[in-house]
Amino acid sequence: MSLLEIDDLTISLATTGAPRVLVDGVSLTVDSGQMVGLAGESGSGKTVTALTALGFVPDGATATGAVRLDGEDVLTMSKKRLREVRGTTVAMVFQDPMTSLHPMLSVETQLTEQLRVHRSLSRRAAKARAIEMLELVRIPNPSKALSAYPHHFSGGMRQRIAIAGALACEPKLLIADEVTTALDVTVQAGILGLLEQLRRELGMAVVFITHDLGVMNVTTDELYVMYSGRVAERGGTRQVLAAPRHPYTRALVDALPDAQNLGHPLVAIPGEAATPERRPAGCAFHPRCAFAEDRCRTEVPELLPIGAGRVLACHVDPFAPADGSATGVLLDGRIGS
Amino acid sequence: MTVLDVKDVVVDYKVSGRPTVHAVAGVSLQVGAGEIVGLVGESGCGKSSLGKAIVGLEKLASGSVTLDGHPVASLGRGARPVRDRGLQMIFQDPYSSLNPRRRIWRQIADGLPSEGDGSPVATAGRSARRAAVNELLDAVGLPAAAGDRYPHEFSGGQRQRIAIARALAARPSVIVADEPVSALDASTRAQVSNLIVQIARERGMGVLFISHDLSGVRHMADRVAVMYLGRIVETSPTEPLWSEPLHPYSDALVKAIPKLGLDAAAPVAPRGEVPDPASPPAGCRFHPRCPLAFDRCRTDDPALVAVEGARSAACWLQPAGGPARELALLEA
Repeated sequence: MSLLEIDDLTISLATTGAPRVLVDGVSLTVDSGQMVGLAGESGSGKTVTALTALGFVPDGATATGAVRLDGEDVLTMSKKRLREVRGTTVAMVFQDPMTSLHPMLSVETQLTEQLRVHRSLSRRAAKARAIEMLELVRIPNPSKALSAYPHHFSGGMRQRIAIAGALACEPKLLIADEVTTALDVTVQAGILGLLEQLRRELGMAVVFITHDLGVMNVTTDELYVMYSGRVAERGGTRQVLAAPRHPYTRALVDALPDAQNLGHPLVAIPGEAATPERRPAGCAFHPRCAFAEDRCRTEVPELLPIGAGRVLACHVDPFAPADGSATGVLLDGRIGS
Repeated sequence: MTVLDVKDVVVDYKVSGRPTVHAVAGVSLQVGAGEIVGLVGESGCGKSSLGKAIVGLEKLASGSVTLDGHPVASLGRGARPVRDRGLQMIFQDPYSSLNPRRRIWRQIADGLPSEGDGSPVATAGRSARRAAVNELLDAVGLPAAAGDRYPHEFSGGQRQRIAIARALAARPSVIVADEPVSALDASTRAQVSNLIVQIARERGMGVLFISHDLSGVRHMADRVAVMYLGRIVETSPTEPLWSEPLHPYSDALVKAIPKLGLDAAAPVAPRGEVPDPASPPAGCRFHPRCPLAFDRCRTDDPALVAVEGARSAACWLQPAGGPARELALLEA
């Protein structure tokens, strides 16, 4: 049994017109100690999908399918049980640490409250544990930091405090949504190193959401590329990014400034990303796809295995290797860049 | 040919009861016609303060900024002198830099030289101005009909194109662009980045491209200046900065970038934190975090000196006029 099993999840909003589909038949598994990445443009459904692990479904939306966390379905869980699970089994960190930190409460109050509630620790024991957490995320002078307020810290330190808060009750799964996007590369490198260390030392699993494919490449084991609420492609992260099979993944990689496409203009993806309000029929990516054929405009492509643990949802599969041996054609010169 | 010349610029922030912060502590740099110069560094290093000071949005505590040989005046309450309009700025947030209540074409037309300015190249008359706006919209890849619409009708990338068109209306010789693509989606970012490069090349316009996105800068810039705690620590043609950084701070930045590739190395974080700019370390400002620091670095502040290969560095390991020394060899 996997730690997180999302099975054929569909989330839709009833509107006066046609229902808006935010997530459409997504299945995803995360094992203990595994780092799983969700990539895609804004509106692809990656955050909505990940939030279901905490039992969050957008207001007014209905979810079908199953989301099993440690064997329990969070979609049908009682409110009381959800409160227990959040923070202890699964926790979340956001892009802006001030989303999770209260500006007017001291760091101590914010870090110890959950320990006293969830773990029934005494004030003294909770404080000791909070200091331990701040040491873990490498905040200098932790006992002094406890009496400080969020505005006393830099953005990178606030993010580390938010992570300390999320990890205080030792969740088995951390949802990290664009946690390093607002940070400088130097600070980002520190946070990524920290997550890797926590995975190694605590066996914590992480669902990592980012649109930065370089970060994705060095951080996650397994990658789900999402477009318009569906999984376009899935596989080992480095293999998928080095040899994308879906035209969308390929387009994302080509739009990225990286060492290997220097001297050429970046290749932008034509058109605008599909939104739940305006989702094209058939393969939702077809209006932006250079390889689209007639059936792409009418038939939704199925996610099918292509070998080496990878799956792909594309009728055309233009990047399939000619000899059928490997699972993808490596992008020129990208290896070892 | 140098069009923008920044010399020994100092920008101070004063708060009563607190020590003065030298956000920019003596910076010189040049931008040539048609040249794209990247300015990189971590948040708080003073790169945005420098950008604002160059266009006159921050007062210079000392130093000078000249455009085409003329000193640029700080912006007061009055209109900007016509002569300084050759220097334009694009900001990060295209949502706050456009007026939500005015039609696009009128906002772009604001930048056109007019007779009232006493400009020798004035565009007079409504239809001529509208035609000039249409040309600018075309130059940034928007249809003429866009001019009749309001900012909220556009996406982030389109708004940034509009902001670029408005800057171009003044026929600038240099544009200071402060994180112009950072708020955009990856794909839109590629489009707007390409547009800026294309415009700079076609119009022979200089661009000072301020960004924390090192990979993006590497893709666009001809030359790069690296800033740390109010100082420029290295300037270099773009490619050698990545392949062989001369300053240990540049090296730390390059090593922190997460890369694509099957065998990409994990990014490395430099040790320590950026110190408080109100009390920068003595000697070289980077020495507490520098793996190669020695005694002299703790007491003497190195000046930015020319090294071979059209490069410069402010590091005691890189002697003036000498051959560039490879940091990797020094570490070994």
